[in-house]
Amino acid sequence: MTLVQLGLILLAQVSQVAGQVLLKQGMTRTAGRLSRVAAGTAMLAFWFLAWLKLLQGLDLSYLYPFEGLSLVLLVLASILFLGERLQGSTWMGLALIAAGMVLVGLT
Amino acid sequence: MPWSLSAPLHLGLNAALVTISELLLKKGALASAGAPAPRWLSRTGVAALGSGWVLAGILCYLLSFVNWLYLLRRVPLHIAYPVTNLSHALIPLGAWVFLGERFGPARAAGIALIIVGTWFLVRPPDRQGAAP
Repeated sequence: MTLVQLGLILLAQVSQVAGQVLLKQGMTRTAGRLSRVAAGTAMLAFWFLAWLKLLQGLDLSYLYPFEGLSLVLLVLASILFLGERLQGSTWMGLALIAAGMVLVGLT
Repeated sequence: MPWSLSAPLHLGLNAALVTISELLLKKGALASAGAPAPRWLSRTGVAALGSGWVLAGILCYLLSFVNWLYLLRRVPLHIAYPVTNLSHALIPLGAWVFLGERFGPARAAGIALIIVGTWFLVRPPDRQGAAP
């Protein structure tokens, strides 16, 4: 994996999570609904195109495990932006996912 | 309720659709790797959208999404979510069988860690503490 590919993976997963948060907000609020849905859709479209680009250069069995990154980011976003507090088992899960991705990344 | 709407069938269908979708996308990405794209989009896989494999993959992805919405109505999330995450195992297995990808025990172990990790994120309500 090159640095460019690593950056694209991070960017793609960040925009996937941000896109989902924006869509969620757009569907539940009345103010600024259209702009949030539009921005969320654009970010998900970028995620998908970046994913296709990554698939052109990386094994699927190597790339797919990094989908786990979106779970880590989603949990972090729920702490930062939604003020949620997490239980010990959630941290355990995140640690396992992170360790798994590092292990896959080294292969 | 007809058998075609049974929850276990649709749980399996979801894992299968997600897996098939990724395999098709990979197939299409490989087939279109050298295809020309506008310069400003060259960092994206936009050229792959012209591949029939990719379009079939998108169709399977959309079907898996509709199927997921149905599952969320029928099945508790603490069951549906871990089953769907079996795609983390099915996709590398599919890549091995259908795409000829080869990998060693380290990658398999990493994937296993990720799957177990996702199981920690969603658990049955009775084992959960105060609702958030």
